[in-house]
Formats: sequence, C-alpha cells, structure tokens
Amino acid sequence: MKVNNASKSTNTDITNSKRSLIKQKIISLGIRLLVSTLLKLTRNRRKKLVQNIGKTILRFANKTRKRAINNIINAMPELSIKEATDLAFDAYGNCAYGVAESFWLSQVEPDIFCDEETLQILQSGTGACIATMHIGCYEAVPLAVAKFAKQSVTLTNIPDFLADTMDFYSDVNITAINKKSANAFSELVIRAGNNAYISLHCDLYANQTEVTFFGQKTKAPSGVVLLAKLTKKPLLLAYAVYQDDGQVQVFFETLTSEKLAEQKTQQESEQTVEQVMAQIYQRFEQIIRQYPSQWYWSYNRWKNYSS
Amino acid sequence: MSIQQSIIQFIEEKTHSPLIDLTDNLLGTIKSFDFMMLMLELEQKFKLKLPFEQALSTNLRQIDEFICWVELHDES
Repeated sequence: MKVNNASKSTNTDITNSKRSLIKQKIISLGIRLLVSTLLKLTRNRRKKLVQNIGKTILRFANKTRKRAINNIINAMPELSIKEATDLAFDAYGNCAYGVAESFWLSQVEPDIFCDEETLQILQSGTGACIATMHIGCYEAVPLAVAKFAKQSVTLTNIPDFLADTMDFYSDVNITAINKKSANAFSELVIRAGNNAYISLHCDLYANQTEVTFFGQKTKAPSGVVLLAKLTKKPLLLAYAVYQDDGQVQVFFETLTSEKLAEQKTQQESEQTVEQVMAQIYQRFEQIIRQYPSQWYWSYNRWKNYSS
Repeated sequence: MSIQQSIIQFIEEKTHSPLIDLTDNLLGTIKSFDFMMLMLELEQKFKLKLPFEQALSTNLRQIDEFICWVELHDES
C-alpha cells in the first residue's frame, strides 16, 4: 500500500511540475507577444500605453494605491489629498513604463552625466560598487555602466515565468544575478573582487541599517556599502530619470574613493556604514523630491519600524 | 578577546543560540549581510586585511575553517 501511495504522490508531483512548466511557458510566450506588439509602436505611444495600463492597474489595486498615497502624504505633508492621489497615479504609470523598458533595453540609449573623477572610476576598469534606486528607468544604471565597463553586474528578483526572457540583460552586456539563486551572494562577491561594477538598488526596506528617510526612521539595505568597504572599491551613487520627451538621463556621483579619502582627514575618510547610508539616503530624498512622479511610492517602505 | 571567541560571539548574537556547531556552514548559519559585517568587524578589531573574495571559497564553508583562515591572516 505504501509503495502505491508513494507512486501516486510522485505522479502527482510530476504532473504539477509539468503544469507549472507549461504555465510558465504560456506566460513567457504571452509576454514576448506583448513586448513585440509594443515595440511596433512609436516610443511616445508605447510610453503612454504602458503608463495608462499602470494607472488602470493601480485603480483596481486598493491596498497598493492606499499605501502609495499614505507614503506620499507622510513624506510630503504639504501636499493635499488630491495632489498626493494624482502623484500616486503618475508615479505608478511612470514606474510601469520604467519596468517595461527592461524588456527592450537594447533600444534605450541613455544620456550619461558625471564629473571627471567619477568618469575616471567608470573608465578605469577596476570596478566600483554603485548604490542605485527605483526611480525612472530601473535598469538604466547598469545599462549606462555597460557603456563604459566590461563587467556591469546587477542583482535581479526576476519571477520564474520571466526566466526565459532574462536574456534582455545579456543583450546589453549586463550580468544579472538572480537573487533567489543559492550562490547569488558568492557570485556577487567573486565578481566584485574581479573588478566588476556592481549596481545594487538600496532604496527599499531591509532589516539592516537604520536611516532617516523623509523625516521618519526606517531601515535600509546596506550591502552595497559593505561590499565597497570590504573590496576596497569606490562607492558611487547613480540614478536614472526620464525627461519630458522620454529620453533617459543617468547621473553618477562619487561617494567614497581613494582620491576623496586622500583629501579628508583619517577620521573623515573612515566613515561608518551608518554614516555612509545616511549620506546616501539624504541624497535619495533630494532626488525623489526633484522627481517625485518617477519614484516607486507603492512599496511598504517604512513598514512598522520604530527604533 | 581572541579571533575565535569574537567570531563565535558574533554568530551567537546573530542566531540567538548559545550552541554553535563549528562544523556548520557559515553562510547557512548567518545571513550574507551579517557575514559582511563580521568580516568588517574582524578587520577593524584585529587590524587585518582579509582578501574578501577568498572568504567564500569552497574550503572555507565551515565555521571552524573560516576561523582558521582569519587566524592565519592575523599571524601573517
């Protein structure tokens, strides 16, 4: 009897995994079709269509919409409810487009802005760690890095059904390490040690380092800062925003580097992880205030954290 | 405090467990973020320079192997 049950169970597992595989293939195919249809449109029409799809999704996603509006009101209490609601919809539409652009990264040609020292770091080929954020075109930072450097690496949290379409990264010379893979961390460290340029989003919540963000205490992922400290690589901050005409602009800034350290006293140059994170979050806040309709407000960013 | 004591104390604090099996996989015991914090703490406390990328090589997976590796860098 036990043997029969085991056999039945194995058969069910196989059927489920086959079903799941078929489901993944169908979704993947659907996405490919949708992307190829979108690519037939002009950039402006494509942008408007995706933004409208995003806004429509938010209209029906009550919890997400309320969270976005609450986040905006808490961050910028000077805004009225109507202004906050309009901003939530605009931001969600823009973010939908920013995410969608990952599917046609090879068609994205960003304008890149940085100072002389940062340019030298990007062109040196000796690697750097880059703190980035979910604003504008999410993958434009590693894309811009790939224009300068051989090894542009990022972490992704790509769903299984998109795994097949993941080659959109390799098309533009970005190495995407799947966060869910067992050896993601080891791979990241090895690449960092081998002079890669590692772009990591660090504007979302993680139970790591305490920061103040829009006047509220919260916690943030500080892996990028630790990685820079341990590998003795420069730490940059970068973000990508859209202009009114749809053109992506990517900005790079140097936060810590050997050259900057030489200019400072030893005490100043040995900033703690918390101090560097405070610097990053102060800058993130300035950037978001400058482009409020391009940041992803719908995330549970502040959670129920209190110090 | 010795390197071994520091590492064990760090792991105990992170896992909230007083019973650490030194043959356990280090990265299976603490999070990757905590692992980086540990490396940084060891570098600062013992004035070491640890080749970070080596710390994840296959022969350093166990906690006791990691301790030996750090101690080796302290001696040199």
